[in-house]
Amino acid sequence: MNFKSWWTSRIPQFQEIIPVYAVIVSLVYGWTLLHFFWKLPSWLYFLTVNEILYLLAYALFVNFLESTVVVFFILALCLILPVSFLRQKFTARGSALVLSLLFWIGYFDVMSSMPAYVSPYIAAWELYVIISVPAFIFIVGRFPVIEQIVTTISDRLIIFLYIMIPASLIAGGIVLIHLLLSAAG
Amino acid sequence: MPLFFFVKPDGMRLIDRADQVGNERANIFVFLFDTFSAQHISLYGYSRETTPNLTRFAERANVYHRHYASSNFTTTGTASLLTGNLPWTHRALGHAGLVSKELLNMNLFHLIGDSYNRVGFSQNLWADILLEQFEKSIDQHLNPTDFSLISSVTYANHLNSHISLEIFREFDDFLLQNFDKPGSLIFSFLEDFDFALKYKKTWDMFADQYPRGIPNLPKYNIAFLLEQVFDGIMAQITQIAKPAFAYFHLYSPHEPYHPHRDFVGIFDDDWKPTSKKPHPLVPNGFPDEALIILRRQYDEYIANVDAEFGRLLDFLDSTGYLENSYIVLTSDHGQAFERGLHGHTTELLYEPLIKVPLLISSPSQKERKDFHVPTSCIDLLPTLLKISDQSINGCEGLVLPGFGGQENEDRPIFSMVAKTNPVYAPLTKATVAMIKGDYKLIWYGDYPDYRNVYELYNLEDDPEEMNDLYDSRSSLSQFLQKELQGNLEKFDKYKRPNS
Repeated sequence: MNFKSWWTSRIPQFQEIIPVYAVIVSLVYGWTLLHFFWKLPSWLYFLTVNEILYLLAYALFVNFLESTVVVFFILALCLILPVSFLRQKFTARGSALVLSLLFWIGYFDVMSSMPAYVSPYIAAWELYVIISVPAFIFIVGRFPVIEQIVTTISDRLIIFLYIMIPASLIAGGIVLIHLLLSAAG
Repeated sequence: MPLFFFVKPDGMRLIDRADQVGNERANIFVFLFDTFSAQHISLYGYSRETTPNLTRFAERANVYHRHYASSNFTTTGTASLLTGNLPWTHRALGHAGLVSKELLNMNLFHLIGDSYNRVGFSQNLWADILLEQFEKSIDQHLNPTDFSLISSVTYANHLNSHISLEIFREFDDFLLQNFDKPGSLIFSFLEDFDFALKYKKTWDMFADQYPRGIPNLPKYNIAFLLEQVFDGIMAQITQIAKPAFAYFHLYSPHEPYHPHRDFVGIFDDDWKPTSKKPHPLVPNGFPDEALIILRRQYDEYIANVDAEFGRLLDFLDSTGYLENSYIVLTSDHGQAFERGLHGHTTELLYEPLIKVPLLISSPSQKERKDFHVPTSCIDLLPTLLKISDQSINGCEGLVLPGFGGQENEDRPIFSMVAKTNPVYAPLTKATVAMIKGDYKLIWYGDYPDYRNVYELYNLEDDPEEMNDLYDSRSSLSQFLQKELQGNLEKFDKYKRPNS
């Protein structure tokens, strides 16, 4: 098997990646926007509107980087793991991986408001992840009904890509211009 | 974070100015210990022997017995100390707030002048961003993670750059923050997971010395050993060319209380503080039993800090710095273990929260001098300006007694907290305390369920603030109330609609 055929057998089609990416974008951007609006009332006490919009632009740009990191991480897993584990039924299994992994990451973020104090519990957290994430991927691949549900959800979430990706690009432009202006000024 | 674009190189502008101005000027070293309540200091009469080294230092210093912070938390208290102005003027009102831009040159570093080598260091990031605001007036702004064991602070990697404060606000105060849920799902996880692993590994190494954990900042990823911080400061002092003006803002004894093993359990006694009923502004407060345990741990940590200060004192003595330097020891605010409250995140302004130590040792001073009139943290700036022969304009503080100032019993001292009051609006959602003579009037502003309430205490007869005299001493209450509100109307930067 030459490299090209190995590569195509391992890396999912673009159409399969997009719904998984949509799940990532929805969770990553959704998390940030939720906390942005949660912080907004306190920012209004001491920041100007311009400063708040700049915070949002920076956050959206960072979200773009985050979601890109995650999708490449999952594609890297496709290269490493057996084809039957993730590559086959990629949209369903990839979405299941994203949902379960980001759930545990979110749980860690909530729990680790003080990382120093959660350090004794890291081993337990890792155990939960190692057991539950593969189990969920397995269940999604095994039961067509669940697979259909996950696939349908990820397809529906594609709409957010049409909103978030252009918004991120605009945000990236704003950040760049702002940095250039502050460097000059 | 990969955010190194457009960052100017760290500009170290430290030069030996001894050649320029001669060696006649004394150094000035300010040591600020965060969250150091005067009510827990044995030098000031606390029943536990928490501070023998402070008492030793006091033997050659001016000791201010009724010294008040301008607020009950770091941002506002430190901003007042550094600008010589009260919160109603400097407007650093909220968590991680900044002083108003008009006051950027109204700070200790700028006013003391460039004839000094000016060094600023703060472990507390909320104070450090104030130093960063004044960065143009500081010759060497030390990194807040210096002298730490482990750290992960995005802002610290961009110190002295033109976007450092934006980096702080975006990353350390939002996307990667620890004290609330972070705004970033992925990067904050990566950072916190890495820090938690490092912390665990480090604690494993030092568990026998620090059984309760490595001292750390709960809101930001910095962990340190107390002795390491003091060693670092001592080394730093020797490197600053004379004349030096250095401000060292240490995080301890702020919670979490993680003293060295030698101090764990040293106050396992039966002593119990006066029990006080929970305050209406402290919903779901701590029970007394829990507060007693926390108080004991705080006292142990203070004793640890005091022992380290003793080492610093010996160093300053043996190296001759005590002979040619002014040494200032103070704090930005206190800490409470009463009325259901543990900590200082509160709208309350009782004595444990705002009464802080102030000791100033002059070069070659051999005797102790005690001052019992109320003084304020805003007095430090004009006092240090007087010491350094600089003109004093535009600050609300007064020169301290002992340095040319008057002992004025009738001067009102103000402390206030207004975290949820808009910076650009009059202070209405605020608590303001006015100390005048033996009396203290506290006004609670526009709080839901506790609106426009006053309390009056006689601190001489009732230092624990148990007996509210507001109703029983109505004429005095009205008089003080008028003075408090009059000062608010006069000095608040933003005027109330009806005034």
